[in-house]
Formats: sequence, C-alpha cells, structure tokens
Amino acid sequence: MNDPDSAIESLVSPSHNGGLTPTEHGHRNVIRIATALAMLPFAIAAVIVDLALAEQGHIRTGMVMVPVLLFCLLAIVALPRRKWRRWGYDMGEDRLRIVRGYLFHTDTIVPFARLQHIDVARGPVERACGVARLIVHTAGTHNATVTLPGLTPETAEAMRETMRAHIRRDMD
Amino acid sequence: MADAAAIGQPSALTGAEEPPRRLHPLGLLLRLLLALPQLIFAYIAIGFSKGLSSVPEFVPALIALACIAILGMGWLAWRRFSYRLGEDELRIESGILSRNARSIPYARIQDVNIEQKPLSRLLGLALVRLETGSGGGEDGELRYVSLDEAERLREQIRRRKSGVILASTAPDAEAGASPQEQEGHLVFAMDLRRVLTAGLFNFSLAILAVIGAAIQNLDFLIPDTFFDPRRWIAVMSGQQWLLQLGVWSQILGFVALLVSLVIIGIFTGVLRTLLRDYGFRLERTETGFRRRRGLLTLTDVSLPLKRIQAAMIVTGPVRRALGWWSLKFQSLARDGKNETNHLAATLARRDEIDAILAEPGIPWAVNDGDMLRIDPAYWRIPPLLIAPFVLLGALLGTTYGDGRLILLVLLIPLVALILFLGWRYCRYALDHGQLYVRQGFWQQRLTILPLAKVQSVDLKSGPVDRLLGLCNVVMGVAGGSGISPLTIHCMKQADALALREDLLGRG
Repeated sequence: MNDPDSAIESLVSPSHNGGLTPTEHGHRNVIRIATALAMLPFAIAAVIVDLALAEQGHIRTGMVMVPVLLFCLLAIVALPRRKWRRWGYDMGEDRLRIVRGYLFHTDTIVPFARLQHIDVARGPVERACGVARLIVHTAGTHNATVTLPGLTPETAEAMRETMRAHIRRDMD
Repeated sequence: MADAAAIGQPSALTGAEEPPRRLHPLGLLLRLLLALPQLIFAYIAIGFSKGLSSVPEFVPALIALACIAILGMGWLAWRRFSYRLGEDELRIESGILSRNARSIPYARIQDVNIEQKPLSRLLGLALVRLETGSGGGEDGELRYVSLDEAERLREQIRRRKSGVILASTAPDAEAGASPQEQEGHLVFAMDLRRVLTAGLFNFSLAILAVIGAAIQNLDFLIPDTFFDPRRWIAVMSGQQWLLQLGVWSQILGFVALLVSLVIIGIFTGVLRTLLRDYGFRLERTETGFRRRRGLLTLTDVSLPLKRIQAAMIVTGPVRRALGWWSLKFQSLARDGKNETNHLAATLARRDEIDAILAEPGIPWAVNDGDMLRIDPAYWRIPPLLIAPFVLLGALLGTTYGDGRLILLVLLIPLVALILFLGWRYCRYALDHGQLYVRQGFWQQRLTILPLAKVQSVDLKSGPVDRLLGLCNVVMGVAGGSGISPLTIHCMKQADALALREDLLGRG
C-alpha cells in the first residue's frame, strides 16, 4: 500500500497494488460511464452559458465551451483508469480485504465470521459491462455495508458462497 | 379480535397463545390531560390578543368540542387497538379505518423499556416501549397500560424469548406477576448526595435556550417596550450613581454576567441531574442489567449483557482529579430517545466502576502508563496546515481593515494547544483480548472494546497522512453513533498494520 507509483504502474500483474487482486476491466468502463454521467451537467451548463454569452457579444463562441468540454473529455479518458487502478481486494482464509482510493486511501478488512448477510447486485450499466457488485453487510454502525464492485458475476457468486459457509450466527 | 377480551381479565390459557388485550382505558384520560395545556394555551392566546372580556363566545364551545373530539377519536382508536402475546411473536393490531397488524418476533425484541411520566404515575399507568434495534425508529409502543401489566409483559416477553413459557401464571396472571419477578441484586446505586454531586459536573446552559424559546412564544405577555433600549436608557439615566462608575461599571457588569451564567449553569445541571438520576439503581438480573431512575419521570430500562458491545468510561479533568468516573455501555439498542449509549453510572468511584464492569466481564485492567501514545503529528501538523491561511487572513485584515485583526494569528498557537492537550490524553493499548482507546481532554473517554465485538477494521489515510507515513485505524462496532466511529488517529503505518492483525487475529 505504500508502493511507489511505478510499481502500481505495472497494472494487471499479480503484484498489482501490493499483492491485491485487481477488479475486472469492465469495472473501468463502469467508472468511465459514471464519470461521464457526472460530467454531463457541467458540459450542458458550459454549452448554454457559452451560447448565451456569445449571443450578447461578450465572448466569442467557444471560449467557455471548449476548455470545459476539453476538461470533461480529459476526465472521462484519463481518470477512470487511475481510479480503477486503486481498487483491489484480497480474499483471505477468513477475511475479505478491500483497498480503494489514492488521495483518500481506505483499506478495509471484514472477517467472514462477523458478516450479517451478503448481496450480489448488478445495475444496468454494470450488466452492460459484464460486472457485478458484492455487498457485504456487517453489524457495525460504521461500515454497515462494504461494497466491492467490478467482479465477474461468477466470481461474485463464488465469493458469496465461500463467505456464506463462514457466517456464524454469533451476533444474536 | 374478540370483544370479550378486556383488561384485567386473567388469562385462562396456560399455553403459549394469550387472548388479545386492550390498553388501559385510563390512558384515554391521560391523553386528554396531555392535550389540555395546548387547548388552554390557545384559549389564553386568543384571550390576550382580544382582551379577556371580549373572547368570542364560540371559543369555549370550540375548546369543549376539541376535548370531545379527542376523547371520541381516542375511544375509537382504543377500541380498535389490541395486542396479544403469541407463541413466538407479539402482535399489535391498530388503526381506526386502515388497519395495521404488526408482529414483532420475541427473538427480535432487544429491550422492553417502561417509562412513567408524572401524570401517568398519578394514574398508575406506564408507557411500554419495545426496542427491536431497527435503526431507532418507532418499533412498538403500548401507550399506557397499567404498571403491573407493563411488568408482566416484560417478564413474559423475556421468558418467551428464552423459550420458557411461564405456565404457572394462570392463577395469578394479573396481580401476581410483579412479585414473582425475581429481584436482581443491586450492583450500583446513587444516594441523593451523590446525585447532587453529579449535578455539579453537569454544567449546562440549556435553560437559557428554554427561556429564549419561552420568551419567543409568550411575547404577548411581555410589554412591547421591554425590548426597546430607549426605555432602559430613559430609566437608567435618572440614576446618577451609574454614570459615575464609568469603565469599572463595564468590567463589573461583565463579571456579574459571567458569575450569573456560572450560577445558572450549575443550578440547571444540578436540577436536570436530580430530575433524571434521582433514586438511580442498577441491578443485575438473570439476563443483564436493569436500571431504574427518575424523580418525576420514572424510567425502567433493561440491558441484556449479550447486547453489550463496549464499555465507555468518561471523566473530565476535575472529575478525574477527584477520582470520579461515569460509565456507559454501547449496545445494540438505544437508551431512550436521544441517547445512543446506556448510562450505567453517572458518577462513581473506581471500585464501583470495576464492580459493574465485572458483570459483563469487560475488566478495566490497564494502567495509563502502559498505554501507547499516538504520533505527535496529531497536534503538530494541523496548526502548520492552517497557518498560511490564518497569516494571509490576518495580513489582508490588517492592511485593508482593522489593525486588531492581527490577533487572528493567535489562532495558530490556540489550535496547537487544544490539539496538544488532546494528544496527551490520546492513548491506546491491546491487552488480554481487549482494545483500550483513550481520547479527549475535556471529555476524557476510555473505550474498552472486547476484540470479539470488532466487526471490521479500516485503515484510512488522507494525502497528508500518506506523506508522513501515518494512517487512522477505524473500528466498525455495532451500535453507538455512526457519526464518530471509534478511531485511533495518526498511527505509524507499520504499527497500524500490526495492530490490525492483532485485532482480527484473535477475533
């Protein structure tokens, strides 16, 4: 987790992000679509402002639109890869480890014995990209749900089965 | 739903199913009495705005009508409300037109809490609140049954939960229930003197807010000129002695204000604590703790040992010097409406705390000296981070505004001092399967968390933390507040990783 950037650069190698399993490539597309959707309002606003200002002769057409749209494009092209690279998980003997984020880095471990229940979920975008999301629920108020996106549906289901075998009802 | 089932009729069944029961009819009267102040208030308000003599004649009639409506609707609701103890669930049916049948499985009922406000005490009624721990919503409320019935219900639910149906209740189902309930042995109690002492530490200025709100609502009672400074200037200017005081009068006035605030604060604290904690008794029952307290509003709360997640020992600089601590338990259920944690002792000596902690088996067995400190970056870095902004602000302020804004610079050492004091008290230790985390300077809180209750562990680090090779360890624990989870700040990454292994390894 304290790797220099160059080590993380060698993406999909088994030593990705310090021995963690990377999420599927489809996940990258999910992030990309999510980023694009997030950028859409800005892009639309930029176009409207640009046209309105140009109409009144304050600026030339494109002076607002072009930089904003370029920024959006850059974000859509470059960001998802970086974001995706920070995701990683490790399915241990008795615990699941999920690592995410670079600027705000979070490294979560959930012991299987403490799981309450498990969901495998797929949204429309995820289905289009061929990935699924594993959501584990713990009894904790903090980390009540821990989500691991970007798994193949088969992996997600296999993981769920493995975890289910471990769940003991020691909470109640 | 049979009409035959009425309150007070002994249960003829010895089996699991009981016939449906109704709430206590006196509850209707209580509801009316509780609604009355508002009606009277409305009457007075109308009276004052029109002048008491000229209240329109239909107003009293209207109020009488409202009373009848409350009674009528209440009676209908009462007719259509029933609850029954089923084989493995409590069923509550309610609703005048749209019916609602709720079933609460005994296995899901965490607590049965009994509350008696002053009026309900007069009428011998109690409010029964069923806690299922479903996010603190309205789970199940029996708004007014008799106190005996409340205690019988709690006993029955507790027994049914553990799978024992009390077959022998049949002969004396109604009245015999409460003597049968085994009295637990006393673990901790506070006498009047202790309650008053606790009140001294419960400094509170909440009364000012209450007075403010009251003034706002009752301002029709206050003469219009009361808030007009010109009137006061006119009154005061007649007093020659005031004018001669000059600067000293300002200082004197300020001191007087401070002293009166302190007196008000202490008085409010003592009063609030007295109302809440009078007759504080914590007993150990078969399954857990039972706490009774209150001067006017009596509350009776049970806390099963199995539900306890962590213990929190809270003190402050003064209390600590005098050897006082208070004890709370973090549990899956909530303590009343506003409290997330269960108060087990408001003000207690170390040996009393130890005696309470012995019951759930969460010993406080670590010396402060053996606990580890966190990284001093905790107090050294934030002042450095805010320094550029504060300096810039002060510079701009003095250049373009008032020269006194240079005092803003004092913010930096102030923040450093506050964080430093906090850092000195921030410690942690891992010992005999328990994690101890101490934090806070003014509110010193020691959390004792058995490792078996750790649900998840996060290592979190922001950009600055990463530069310094630090991270925060955040524990997921059931119950408690979701806003501020148990966190050990500013640990070296290697230490944090090792700590996490220890935390999860034994769990």
